[in-house]
Amino acid sequence: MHDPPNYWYNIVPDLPRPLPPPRDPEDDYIFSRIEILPKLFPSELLDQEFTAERYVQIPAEVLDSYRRIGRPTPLARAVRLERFLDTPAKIYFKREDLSPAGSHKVNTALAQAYYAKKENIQMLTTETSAGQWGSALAYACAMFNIKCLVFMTRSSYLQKPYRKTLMKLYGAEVLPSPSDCTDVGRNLLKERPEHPGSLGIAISEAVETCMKNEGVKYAIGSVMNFVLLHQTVIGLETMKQLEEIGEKPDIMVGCVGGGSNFAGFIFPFVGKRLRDGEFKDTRFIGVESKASPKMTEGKYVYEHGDTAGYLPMLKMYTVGRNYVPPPIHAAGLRYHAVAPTLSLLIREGLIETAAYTQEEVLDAARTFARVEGIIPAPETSHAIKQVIIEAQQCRRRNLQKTIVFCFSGHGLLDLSIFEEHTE
Amino acid sequence: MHDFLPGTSKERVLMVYLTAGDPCVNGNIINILSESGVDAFEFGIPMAKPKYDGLVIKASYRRALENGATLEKIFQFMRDLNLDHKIIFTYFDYAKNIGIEKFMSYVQNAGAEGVLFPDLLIDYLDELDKYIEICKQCSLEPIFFITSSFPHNLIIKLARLKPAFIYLGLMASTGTLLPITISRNIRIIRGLIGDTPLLVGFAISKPSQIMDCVRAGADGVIIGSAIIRLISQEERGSAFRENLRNYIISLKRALEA
Ligand SMILES: Cc1ncc(COP(=O)(O)O)c(C=O)c1O
Repeated sequence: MHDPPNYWYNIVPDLPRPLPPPRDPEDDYIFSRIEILPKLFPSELLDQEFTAERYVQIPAEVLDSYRRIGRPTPLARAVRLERFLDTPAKIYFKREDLSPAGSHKVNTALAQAYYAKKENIQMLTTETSAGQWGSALAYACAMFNIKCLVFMTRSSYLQKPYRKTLMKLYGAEVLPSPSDCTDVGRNLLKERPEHPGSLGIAISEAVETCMKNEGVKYAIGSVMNFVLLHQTVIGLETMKQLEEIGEKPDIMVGCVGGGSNFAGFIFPFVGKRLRDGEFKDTRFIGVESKASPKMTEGKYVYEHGDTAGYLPMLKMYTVGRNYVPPPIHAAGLRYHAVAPTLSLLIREGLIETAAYTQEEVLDAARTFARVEGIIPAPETSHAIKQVIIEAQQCRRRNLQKTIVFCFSGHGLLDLSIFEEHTE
Repeated sequence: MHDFLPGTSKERVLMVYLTAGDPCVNGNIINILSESGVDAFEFGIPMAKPKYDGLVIKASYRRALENGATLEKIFQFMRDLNLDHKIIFTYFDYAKNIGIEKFMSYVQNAGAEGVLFPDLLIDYLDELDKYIEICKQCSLEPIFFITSSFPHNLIIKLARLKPAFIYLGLMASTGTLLPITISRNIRIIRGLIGDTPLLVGFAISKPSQIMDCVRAGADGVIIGSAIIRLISQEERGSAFRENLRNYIISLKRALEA
């Protein structure tokens, strides 16, 4: 495979039932979150959010930017992990860690920065916890020459100083969240000056900044349909790459924060299954953190995408927006809900879910690092944990399964977690 | 084209949404609208917790409820109106509370031709067959509400059920304009439903939008919030009737252009 696909895949027209629309709180007669969406997002992104098209063309400029980050990214085989586990299973992984900012997040960041630039927007603002999304957006804004303001959850801001440095290198302004630059932030700091922050709070700060400043729009790293749409470049490439080597996936695994890397990875396959029955025996497994167990323990209800409730309510699996998860290292998995399309597919029984604790996951990460020589992000390590379990099952039952997982990002800027937890 | 809709496939339909029981909705206003070219009416039943309504229609519900609207009064009001074509818009949740059979028989008695439940296929997909069955029992026309986020297979299936029409909600909630390329979405839906009558609505207020919709394959449009905004103004002024009439004429002209 030499070139990335020239379209993204929208799963919405292929879902087994209608996607519940975004909603405003029923009893709010004054303020409509749906009405303010155009203040928050570039128009073309909102258009993509509600498109009836199955395939959405990738603009030439975005395609170029995809080539610049090394797309198509390699589909590698973890031969040494297979041997280490002494499993008959074959293990492949999609290298989303190889982009300049270190994760899959750049796939949507580039698209969002492109559309913002096209609409003459001067600045994009966003939230980040792990720092992965913030770095990706800072990179994308640098590539498309627009300003970038990042609200970084305080816990990560303190834990991950190099992420902050990276974003600043790309020219972004970075503030710890809750910050004293917004009403939401100031109120929370008043209650609790050491507030560790959460993705939801940081989103609220970014949204507030857009609402109060012309020419500033909000960029979002997960959950919205258009984000998942952009991430399907991962799965479309993977499908082609598997075809080229004559493989069919038996098990596909990814980690789930808001669900964007996992959905982007599996939706092209799930879509084929829904349309013409292909991949009907493939198992799709989303892995979350026990610290924010929305898929395994949450409810499928309408909930806001952010803590302050600025964003419309979406029907999602969620632990509730007021839930404050413990400050785990996989900050990207602390988000309170899973994207609506992914939630619907979980509800319909097409996707399996699993949850692990930080300790279980770091063990898997250490194994992978030692055996394969690649350091996974703590988020990605959740997927690896599941892959190891599946490969061990294959050994016990002597099954030659093909396991494919999304290696969503590297952990080279998260090394401190291994220090604390080694020995 | 289905005989529920006036005219043939050459003719386009202008439908107006009004909340029944809203004090600004009266026989006078309805006469002006009818006389200036409105072909059919859709009456919403006011409720305290609407799922997909924008602020204008929510306010209209509130006025209706504060005005003491009850289901009985609403159906009486509709019976009294001398209108050729009217349907009811309400949530399936609400009708379920009353009892679907009972609710639908009220509708029939009020002389309406059908009920549009915007949440039927979203929250109660399993009850589709039941809805069709009861429509038949009550001599009501099935009507389906869809959005651009509906599965294409389901849309195809709905068209095969020969509804009076399919109503495409163009936006995420009533009266709330988002930068969505509605012509593309209409074209795609039209491609799925053959010649099933297709009406489109949500946040349509301008003749240019109507022209876009028709060009893309819509057979008609439904205007709600834009009309309610006009008729609920506190200060109506002397030119109010004339303005309303001219507005409808401009919409109708766009529809037939
Ligand atoms: C490397 C990595 N993987 C996964 C995630 C989780 O997000 P999502 O579920 O949207 O892919 C994040 C979020 O920050 C991340 O940085």
